[in-house]
Amino acid sequence: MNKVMGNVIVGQSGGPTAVINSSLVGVYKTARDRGSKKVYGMLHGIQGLLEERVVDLSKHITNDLDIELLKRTPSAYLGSCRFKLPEIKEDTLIYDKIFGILDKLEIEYFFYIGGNDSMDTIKKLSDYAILNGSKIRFMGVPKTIDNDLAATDHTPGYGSAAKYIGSITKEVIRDGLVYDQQNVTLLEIMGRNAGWLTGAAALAKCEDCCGPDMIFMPEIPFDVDEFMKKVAELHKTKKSVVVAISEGVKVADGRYVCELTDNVDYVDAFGHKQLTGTARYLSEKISREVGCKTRAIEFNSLQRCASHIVSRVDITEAYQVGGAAVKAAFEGETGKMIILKRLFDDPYVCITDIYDVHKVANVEKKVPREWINESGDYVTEEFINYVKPLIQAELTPMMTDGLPRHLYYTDKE
Amino acid sequence: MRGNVIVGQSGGPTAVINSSLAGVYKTAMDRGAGKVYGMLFGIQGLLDEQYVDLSDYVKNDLDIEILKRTPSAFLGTCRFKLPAIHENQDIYVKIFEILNHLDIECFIYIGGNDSMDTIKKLSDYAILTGQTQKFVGVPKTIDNDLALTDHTPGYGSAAKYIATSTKEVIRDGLGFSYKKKLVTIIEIMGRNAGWLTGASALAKGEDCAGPDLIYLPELAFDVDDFVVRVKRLLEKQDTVVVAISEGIKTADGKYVSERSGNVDYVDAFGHKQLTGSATYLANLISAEVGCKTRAVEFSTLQRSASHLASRVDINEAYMVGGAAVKAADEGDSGKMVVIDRVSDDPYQCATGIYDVHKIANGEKLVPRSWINEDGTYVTEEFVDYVRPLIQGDYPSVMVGGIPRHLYR
Repeated sequence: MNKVMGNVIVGQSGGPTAVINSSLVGVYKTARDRGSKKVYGMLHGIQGLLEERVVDLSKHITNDLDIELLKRTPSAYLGSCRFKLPEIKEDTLIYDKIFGILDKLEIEYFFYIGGNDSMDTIKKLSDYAILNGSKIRFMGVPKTIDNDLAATDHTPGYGSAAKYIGSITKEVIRDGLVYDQQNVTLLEIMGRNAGWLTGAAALAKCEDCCGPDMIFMPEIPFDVDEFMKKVAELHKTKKSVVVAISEGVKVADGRYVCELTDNVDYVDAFGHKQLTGTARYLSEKISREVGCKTRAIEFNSLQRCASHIVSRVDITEAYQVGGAAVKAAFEGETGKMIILKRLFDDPYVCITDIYDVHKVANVEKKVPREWINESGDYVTEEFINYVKPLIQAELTPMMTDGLPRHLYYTDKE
Repeated sequence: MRGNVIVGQSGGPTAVINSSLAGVYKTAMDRGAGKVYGMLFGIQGLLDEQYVDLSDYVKNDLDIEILKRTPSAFLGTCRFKLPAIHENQDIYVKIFEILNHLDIECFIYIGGNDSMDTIKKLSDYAILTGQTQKFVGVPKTIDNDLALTDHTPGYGSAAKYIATSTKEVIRDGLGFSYKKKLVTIIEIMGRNAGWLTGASALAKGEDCAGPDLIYLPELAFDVDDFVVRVKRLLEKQDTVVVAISEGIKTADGKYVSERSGNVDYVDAFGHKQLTGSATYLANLISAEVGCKTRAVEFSTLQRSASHLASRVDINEAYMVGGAAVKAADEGDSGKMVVIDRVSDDPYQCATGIYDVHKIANGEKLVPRSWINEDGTYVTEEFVDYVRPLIQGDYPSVMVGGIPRHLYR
């Protein structure tokens, strides 16, 4: 292996996942193993970098135990940002500034862990480098719980979110069986435009659990009256009905279900228009019109930060894509992102590959229509077969005094 | 033991209520019970003669282990209060007919205050009518509001879930807060007692600052003071996390969640809407401070997240189930099993036995001295009390990537 002479910098961007730090570790460890001098971390992504907020990661990751802890730490260790670089022709000053900082730090390799916007950052920075004869190499590392990146079979972060959703859906379903009375539970799941996360509720269906009764994804227009009819129909045969619904379901005219309360003065104490959640809206409607007990449960931020129940496949792949990005960059690649390529479903075999960020279209990958059943209220076997390998096995938290231990950031400069 | 045993579950479930069921079943079998029946949906189901032979479901030692890890009540529960004996003897006659028909020697009921009332009435009726069945109660509730017992099985696992989730949510906020303020309000169960809400303080450790403010229902909630405190915190930090009980009330006795109903908060059908307390306060902060806010409700998972149960809790739940069978087999009736803390450090607990006639129907609240003077946090004493109860894990049996449960 050739000795690498320059330094490395890595940043995290966008919404975190339960395994985004595993990718950070993959970058760090592989860069060190391959002989890089320093590995810097930018705090709060490119936005922090612009203010020269960088840390020497070796001061934070001091030994192999720290590496293991960091893999199990949720949220972005370095902090993230939502920051879109301008087009190069619009504002070269910001690029000059970034490259000035990178040169000062003697950076030769730049890694950015993020979603679509981050790949756009990699594209622009690598273009600028070529235009200006800079030798810095730029590589993207994919992450998002939403699984809506095209080009890659799936995104690191999705498997753990799916495992969390599948597991707690199962626990909530069982909880609903406890009383001998009619009840309806609505589970509101993240994913405004793509139903990958909502569909994962179907994983709760196994030998010991009948799974949710219906699943509604944002890909298909939602019919409120039809929904009410289906709930009533289900109640004829079972007492406890559980429905998983994406926060982003819309009715045929394009309004979000959670906006339906808008026709009237749904205004809070401060004069602000309020949006109730989709699940809350539907559960109140059922409670009024059917008269049975209802519950609305929002799965909330824990979908992206429940490191206590991560998928081992996911955490390992997150690590691999980080490492593969370093390997590719050290071998001369730039302006690329690492993707995951599934070779087989059963046995599940997946490898990393490289993809040109210029080809990454800024579109969200939706759940294919044929992976949703005809009546639009459940996912098909194909969907399950796709997700199931991604939630396999666990990486147990390091429990300290009864709680999962995390690697924590303190100012060490 | 010569006869049979019957066991039921009642009230709101916990993550470990089935561990108590497993404790009852295993100890009864070990002590030579003929059959162990389970009543479906508690005493209400029993009245309809809905019961099962538990050995049809718990077939081997692996089933016992899976049952211990299964959330919600395996047998189903009910909310059913027996009438006073003098008011309606018929119902008692019916119950005892069924018990005699099944040759029941021990009747074990896993539940909260109401279930102990059931044990009291049934044991009284047995004495009054000269019947020999023994009735013993097994405590459970996530709320930890039963008096007499140091704590209740179910509380430790709920506390562990709350603390872990709080820690993860706190960290999630930190990753986002670059030059942006973020206030997160976490809403936690426990309408009258703050045991669960206080457990969010456990998130505080070497690697986490913990929530910034904790509001328990035991003290009146001052909305203006709350806003002032949040503003003051935001002057020195970017993220603020507040844990509140769903049951916090203002000094006039109104739930905070009712405040959103004071104004024209009316939905499409002309009905007044009540949002949760956290949503209300998040909206309030967003209006007063203008920063991003989040309301997070920990929801039903507080009582059903078996995937994160405390080993101490699971073991104690199992132990109280077994102790109830032992007590009944040795002749106790009209009693409940309690947990006595022998020592804090090292933590040691033993089961005790308590006369259900002496149980007052009051809820055990968090003592004032375990809440700080400002009423905005719990004290070290509170943390020292809870911490031993969340220790150790009882990892789920994972099948296909998802926790496995025992089903009927």
